[in-house]
Amino acid sequence: MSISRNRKAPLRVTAAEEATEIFVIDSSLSRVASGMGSLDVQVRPGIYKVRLRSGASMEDTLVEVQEGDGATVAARPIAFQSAAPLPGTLTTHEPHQAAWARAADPPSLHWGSGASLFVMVRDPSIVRGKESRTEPWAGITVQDAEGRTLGAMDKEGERMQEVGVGWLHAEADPGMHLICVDTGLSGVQCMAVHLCPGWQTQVILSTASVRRSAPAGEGDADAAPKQRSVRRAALTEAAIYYGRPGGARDPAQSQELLRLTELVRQGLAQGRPTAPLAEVKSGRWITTDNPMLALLTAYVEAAKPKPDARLLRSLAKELAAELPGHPDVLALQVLAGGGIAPKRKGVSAIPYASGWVAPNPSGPSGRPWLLQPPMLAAALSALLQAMDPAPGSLVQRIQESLLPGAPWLVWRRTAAVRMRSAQSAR
Amino acid sequence: MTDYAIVVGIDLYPGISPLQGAQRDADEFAAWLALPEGGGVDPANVARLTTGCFHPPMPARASQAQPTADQFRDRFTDIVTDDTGRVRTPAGRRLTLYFSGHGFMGNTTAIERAVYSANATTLAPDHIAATRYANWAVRAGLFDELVLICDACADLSLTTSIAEPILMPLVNAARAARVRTFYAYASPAGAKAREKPLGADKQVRGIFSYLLLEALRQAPGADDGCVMATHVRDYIHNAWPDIAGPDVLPPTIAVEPARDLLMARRPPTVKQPATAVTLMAVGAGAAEVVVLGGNGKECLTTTMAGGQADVSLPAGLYKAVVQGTGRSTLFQAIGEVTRVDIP
Repeated sequence: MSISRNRKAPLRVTAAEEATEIFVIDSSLSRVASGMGSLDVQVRPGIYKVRLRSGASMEDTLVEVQEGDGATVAARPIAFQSAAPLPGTLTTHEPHQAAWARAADPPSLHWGSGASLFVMVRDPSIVRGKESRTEPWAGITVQDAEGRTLGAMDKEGERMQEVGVGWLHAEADPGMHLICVDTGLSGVQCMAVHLCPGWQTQVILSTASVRRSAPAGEGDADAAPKQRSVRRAALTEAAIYYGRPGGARDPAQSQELLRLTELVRQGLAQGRPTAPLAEVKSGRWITTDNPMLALLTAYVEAAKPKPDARLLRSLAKELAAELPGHPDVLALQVLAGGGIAPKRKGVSAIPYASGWVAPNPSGPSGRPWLLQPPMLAAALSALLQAMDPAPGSLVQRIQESLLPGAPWLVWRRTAAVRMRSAQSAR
Repeated sequence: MTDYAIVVGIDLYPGISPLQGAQRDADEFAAWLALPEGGGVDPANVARLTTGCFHPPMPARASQAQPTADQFRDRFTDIVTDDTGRVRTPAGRRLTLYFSGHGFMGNTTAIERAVYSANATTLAPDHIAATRYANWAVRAGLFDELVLICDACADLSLTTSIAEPILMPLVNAARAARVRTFYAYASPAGAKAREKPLGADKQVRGIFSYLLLEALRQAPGADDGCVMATHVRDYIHNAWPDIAGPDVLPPTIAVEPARDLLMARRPPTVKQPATAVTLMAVGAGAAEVVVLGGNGKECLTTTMAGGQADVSLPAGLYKAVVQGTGRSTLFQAIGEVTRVDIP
C-alpha cells in the first residue's frame, strides 16, 4: 500500500445521537477534527481513530481512509451512566423502568393541586437475580418552600425492596419544593425543584457512595484513620424532567428525548458543547413533551464564550409559554441580554405571584428581591445580575454552602441555612 | 531567563484519609522536570513539598502533618521575590506548579481547584488555592509561561470555599495578556481523580500523572522534536480510556492552540521512545508480517514465530498485514506495552 498524501478524501462519521461528541485523531495521535452528532471532513488518506463520547462514556474505532472513496463510520448508540434507568444506559434495569412507568399512574399523595411531583430513587448497583439489601430511599424528604416536610420517602413512598427502587408520587401546588437527602455522614443536602401548572416534575435519583473519614483516634486511639461510607441518593446527578401527567403521547420519541436530555445535562455539568442545535433550530421538541431538554440546551448555549443571543431569546420566549413564571426561564432572558421582564402597559411582567421573587420594599426603582433559588446553578448567577438576594431568604442563606460540580443548584444544609429569619429586615 | 517549579505531593493526611501514589507522582514529575531532555529546569529551582520531605517521623497530631499551605506560600513568595522581599518583575520564564493529593473545586462559576494540605481536618480544612496562585502569577505578569497541573479530586468537599492566598494583588495587564498558560486538572467538575497500580513495577500512581509523564516522554511531537502542550493534551485524551477505562471522565486540560507552549524538546537525533508491541496471529506460524504506518508507508517487516512477533514502534496508529493470508488489522501503539490480535 502506498498512499498519495496530497489528495484528501472524505471521512464521514455519524453518531446515533445528536448530543454525541465526535473526535478524529490522526496517526500521530493529534486531534484533527471534532463535531457533534455527525461530522464530514476531508483528510489525507491514512489511518485515523474516531472517538465518540456520550456523557462520560467513550468508544474508539480505528478506520482506514482510502484515497478517493474515503471512509464512513456509522456508530450505534453508546451506553452511558444515568440516574434514570433509560434503555441503553449502563445501569438500566427492567424493574427500575417498571417503577418509573408508575409516574403515569394517578398520584397517591395529595399535598395541593395544579401540578404533580414524581420522585424516584434507585440503587443502580443491584445485581440481576440477587436481592438488594440497600435502602436507597433512606433520608429523602420533600419539603415545601418554608422547609416543612410534606413527605418522607421511607414513610409515604412506595417501593420494590427486592430490586432497590422506591418512589413517591404527589399532586402538589405549583411553585418551589425542596428535595432533601440526609446523608448521615456528610450532612443534609438539598435542591430546589419548581413545579409548573399542568406539568409533572420527575426527579430520578440514583445512589452513590457518600464517604467521610473519621480522624485517627476516633474510637480506637491506636487505629489508623477510618473511612466510613454509606449509599445515599446523589442530588448532584439527578435526572429531572417535565412531563405530561399520564405519560408521553409518543413513548418511543419520549425515550429518545429523555436520553438526549440526560446527555445535554451531563454536557452542561462537564462544560461540554452537547447542545443539539439542529433540533433546537427546528423547534421540533420545544412544544412537545420535554421542555427540560430545551432549558438545558439553552444553558449549554449560554455557557459558550460567545452565545447566540438571538437563539437564547427565542428559547426563553418559547419556554416562558410552557413554564410560565419559572425562575430558570427568566434567568435565561437575563443571559440573552434582555434583562428581567420589562413593564408592559405599565404592569411589570416579573412573576411576583410565583413566590420566588418579590418587589423591592424600598420602591419600584429598587432591584427586585430574590427569595427562592432556581433549579440550575447558572440560573442563580444570572438572576443575581438583575436581583438582590432578599435578606434572610433561603437564597441568601445557601450561598456559602453550594456544592460545586453539578448543573443543579445543590447545597449542604448548615446551621446558617436552617436558621429561619426570626426578624424582619430593617 | 530562568524556569522555576513547586512540586507538591501529599500521601499522608491524618485528618482525612491516606493516599498511596501522590508522593510517587510528585517525585517522578520533579525528576522529569530536572532532566535536560525533559523539563530542563535547574534542580536547584525545583522546590519539593512532599510527604517524604517531612515524614517520618509520623506527626503526633493531624494538625502537625506537613506540607502545609503556609509552607507552599513561603516557597511561592521565595520564587517571586528577591532577598529583601521585593517582587521581581519578571521573576522568570516559566513557573510550573504541580500538585497531587486530595482536592476539591470551589463553588464559584470560575473553574478553580484547591489541594488540601497535609494538616487538613474536617474541622479545619486547610488547603492550597492552586488555581488562585496560578492566576495571581498570571495577572501579575511575572512569568512568560504558567503551567498548572493538579492531580486531585474535584469533589472532596470538606469545604467548598477556596481561601484567597494572602498576597497583595499585583496586576500588570500588558504583561498578563502575553502569558501563555497550560492548566491541567485530573478530574473534571465534581469528579474524582483516581490512582491505581500502573507502570512496569505496578506501583500505585495517579492515572493522570502517569499519563502526563508518558505523554511528556512519548507523545509524538513535531518533526523538529518539539513536544508542545497540545501534543501532550491530545496524547493524554487519546490514551485515557485505555488506562482509566471507557466510562471515566477524562481530565480537563486547557491550552490555547494559538498560544501553545513547548513542553519538551527531544534532539532530532534522539528517537521517540518506543512501545513494545506483540503481534499475535493464531495459526499464522512463521508467516511474514508487514507493519504500515498511518501514512501507508512500510515501517517494518518481520517473521512471526508460532504466530507471534515482538516489535518496537513509536506511539501512533498502524496497520499489520500477515503476508499471503489476507489477514490484517489496524492498531494503536501506545504506552509501554501493546498486544495486538490479528483476526
